[in-house]
Formats: sequence, C-alpha cells, structure tokens
Amino acid sequence: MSWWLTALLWAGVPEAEVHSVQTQDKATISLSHRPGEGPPVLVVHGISSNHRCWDLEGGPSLAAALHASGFDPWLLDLRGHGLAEFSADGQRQRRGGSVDDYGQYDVPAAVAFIQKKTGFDKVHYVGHSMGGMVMAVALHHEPELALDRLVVVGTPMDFSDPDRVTGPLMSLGRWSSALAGYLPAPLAASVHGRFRTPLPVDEWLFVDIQSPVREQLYEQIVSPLYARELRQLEAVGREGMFVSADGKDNYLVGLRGIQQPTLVVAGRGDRIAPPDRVAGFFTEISSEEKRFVIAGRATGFSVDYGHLDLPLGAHAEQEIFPLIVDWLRGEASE
Amino acid sequence: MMKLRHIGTVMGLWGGSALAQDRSALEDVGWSFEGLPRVVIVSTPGVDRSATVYWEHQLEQSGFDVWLLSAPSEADSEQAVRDSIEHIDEIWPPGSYDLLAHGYAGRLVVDANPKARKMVLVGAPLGPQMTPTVSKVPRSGPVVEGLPWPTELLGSLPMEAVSAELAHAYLEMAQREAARDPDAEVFLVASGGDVVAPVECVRLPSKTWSDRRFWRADAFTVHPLQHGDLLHNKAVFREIQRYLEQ
Repeated sequence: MSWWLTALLWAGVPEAEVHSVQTQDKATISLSHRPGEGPPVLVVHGISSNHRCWDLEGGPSLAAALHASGFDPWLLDLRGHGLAEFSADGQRQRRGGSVDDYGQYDVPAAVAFIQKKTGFDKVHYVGHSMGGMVMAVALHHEPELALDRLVVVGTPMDFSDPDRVTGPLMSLGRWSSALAGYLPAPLAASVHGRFRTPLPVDEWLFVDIQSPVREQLYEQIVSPLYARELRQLEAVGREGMFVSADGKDNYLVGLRGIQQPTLVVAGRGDRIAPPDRVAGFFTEISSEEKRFVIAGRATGFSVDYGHLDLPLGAHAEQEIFPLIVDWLRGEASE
Repeated sequence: MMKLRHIGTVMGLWGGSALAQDRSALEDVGWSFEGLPRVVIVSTPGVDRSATVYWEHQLEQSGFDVWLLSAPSEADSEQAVRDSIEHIDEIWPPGSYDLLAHGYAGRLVVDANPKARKMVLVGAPLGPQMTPTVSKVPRSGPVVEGLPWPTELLGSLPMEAVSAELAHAYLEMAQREAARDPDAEVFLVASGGDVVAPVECVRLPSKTWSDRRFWRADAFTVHPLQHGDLLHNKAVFREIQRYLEQ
C-alpha cells in the first residue's frame, strides 16, 4: 500500500465515536462510528478478530474508503471482541458468544441502533469471514431485518469434503469445555508478530502484507477465540454444513431466503476460506442481483489474495475496496 | 496392425515398448512386468512428455506396470484425443487397468469414459470457471505454444506445441458444463493455486458423483501448489500411490 494513498484516504476522516450498545440478551457490543453524511454501512469482522480488521491504525482502512466515498461507516465489535471485550459496566465478557448469538442478537441490535441514530430505513452490510456467516444467521432469524446491499468477503459457506487441516481444526470444539471460556489469541498473535515464530502463520493468513502493517495487524486485529465459537464450528464440521450450535437450525435455509443484491468476494490464495467454500454463499442465495469475484492473478488482480489480504493487503485499497464501494453504490453489478 | 517399438530411456535406466496404432501411442515406459497392476498415464497434448517422468519413475519403483498414452502427433482435435483414450479398451479388457491423468487430459478421460478400474485425475477441470479468467491462446496460427495460460501462472510445467483447435477447446472447457460421473471409481486431486483446475472447478462439479474421493493437495502445504507443481509433488504422489494400491 502506498503511504500517500493511505494519507489521502485518512485526510478528513473524523475520529471514531464509540457507542456501547446492549443486545436483547443483555450482552454488550460496540460500534465505532466515523460520521459521514451518506447511507450507513455496518462493517463486521471475522472470528477471533475485531473492528480493526477493517480499520487498521496506520494501515488499510475500509472505513476511510467508505467515508471518502460518501458513506457513513459503522464498525461493529461483536460481544467479547475489540472494544466489546468488556461490557458497559466494565465486566469482561468472558464467554464471548457463538455465531448464533452474534447473528441472532448482536447484528439486529447494531442495525436498530444505526437506524435510530441516522434515520435511514436500511443499512448496507459488509462482513469479513465469520462476519458474513453472522449476517446469514441474522437473516435466518429475522428475514425482514433492514439490510440493504450486502457484501461478504472471504466467508465460507460450504463445509463438505473436509480436508486434513480444517477438519481437525473444526473438531477442536470437542475439547473446548476444557478451556477457561476462551483462548488468549491476542497474546499468541503478539508473540508471533514480534518474534516471528517458525510457525507458518503468515503464509496461511496472507501473501501480500509486509512490515509495518504485518506487525500492526498482529497487535491490533486479534481478539480471543471463544469456546462457544469452537463448539459451533465443531457442529458445523460434524454436519458438513452451516448449522446452529445445537444442530437444529440449518442456516442454508435462511441463506436461500436472501434477496438483497449481494457481492461475494473470495481470495484465490485464501487458505481459511478458499473460493470453493465461499462459492456456496454465492450459489445458495436467491438474490437476482449478485456477483462472485475471485481475487487472484488469473482473474486480473495483482496477487492471489489470502484471507487477511482481502481487508488488509498491500493492494486492498486499490483492488478490493473499490469493488465494495461500487457495489454499495449500485454500480458494477453483473 | 500393432507394432512394437523401442522408446528412449528415462533417467538412463529404463527401456520399454510401445503399442502404436493409428489412433494412439501406448508406450510401456518402464520395465515390462507381467502380472503387476497396470497404470496408464494419459498425457495432455501441449504438455511436454517429460512432465510425467516423476510419476512414471515413482510408479515403476512402487511396483506398477506403467504405460503412457500419448495422442498421435497429428491429433488436432478434442475428438481425436478422446478416440485415442477409448482405444485402450480395444487393447485390454475392461477393469484390467487404472488411469492417471493430469490437467486437460483428465477432463478428456472423463468425457471418453473408458472402462478403467480406477481413475486418478489430478488438476483436471471438470466444470466451468466461476469467474472470467485471463486465459487466452497465446498466438494465432495452426499451432500454438502450449496451454492457453500465462506461463507464470502454471508453475513448473514443460510445454510443447499444440494445435490451435485443441488450445481453443481447452479454453472452451472453462465455460463448458460440468462433466458427467464416469463409470470408474475416481480419485480427484486439486489445489487452490491451480489456475487450470482450481478446487471449485474440481470439487463442486463432482460433489454428487458416486465412488468419488476428493483430496485437497495444498491443505497442508505452506504455499499453494500451481498446476505444474502437482506433477512432481511428493505428497501428491503418495496419495496417488495409496489410492491405486487399495
């Protein structure tokens, strides 16, 4: 990423206002708002991450790009993540939540709050990784939820044919009861970021991020990994499809009800949510206006985008953010 | 009609024989061993013969009787290549051989649907690309240089001239509807870094196939494997061997 482009994007972007919002089930979420005058956009992070994933201090920022393009970005921290690691009364939200909780309670609370604050009837939605799954859960439980145009980035939705890495990883949930509620992922990330452990974590997460953004992301965007998330992933892996933690709700049903214009973006080099797993999102939704983009060299992009390259890669501001902005504007649909 | 001919040695050790007819050249690429499980490697026109040497050598070392099926040099169409594949059934009885194919040859094998016992298809595009790609035939004329992709996206893959008609057929496969379930048991190998046959063009079109196993080649590698890399990756070969030995 060129420093001048970042500087240009950040020029005129107001400081974030932070709002703590209580959900229907009494958890606390946080919304970081960079006030703009245009249509509101709810931006949601992935698993074990937080709002900085889309708004890295000193790095790529979709929030800045949205603001510069006339939108009003609201960045969500799901319960237990980022600015919502602690509740409004200062208690650590140790249990975090499951994907069910995030979709059923956190997203509707965020949408209602944004509607109330802005006066807009509908809210655009951008989700990275689990942030897209959360949206599917929200629309499963509340099909009339006031979401406008949708963007999901690196969101897996096809869990059949488990491979030798994701299969065992998803089964970690079996042992999650032994955890004290969560795994201290921020500590591990900080150690890896600073000391470059020999684990091939970088190679698995990105291909196009260099210092100092690399170190900043390990410091800023990692949140605890919660046992309840792992337990749900275990259920998903066991069933081979996106289901609720108790296995009773098949979220593909809700997904098929999605009618909103939807942009689905996958990274050709994404090892966490490879295109064949993301494709399920695109094929299942009922939207008449939808587009699937695979960001890779064979499709005309600079690099084969990895999982974190999509929001934070060196070329994200030139190649991914404009796709999102154009989609939210109603341009560039196919 | 059949004639026997000696082919060049591979790695200085091998000798072999070939059964050549009008429609195909079927070469025994290693030592001839009666009674060993027979594996036919189907080569892709446009990919140099040296591309499969690693598989040939490893299979031979693992106790297989290895044959190589090359389309005749005058084969300029997809149909001609499919005919050469179907011709195997005129030489050997049904179920007496296994097939191993990489890339476009894999798709042609599935379409030809020969009576093999098992098929192993590595990096074979079985369904359409989900988004437009930068692939194109590199030069116009009756013959073009290799596969219709920028070479830097293919990994280590030696190529040779191929008819423009075949190259265009390869391009057209990127839009063609999904291949039908072949009669033989199938083992599918795909890698996310393979532009010719990315995982979504292998796994998704074959999801409902019977007797199908799928393996993601780059699930445990540090770097994704490109199309050509699949031909000489040890882990990929181990899986192929394991499947063929079952």
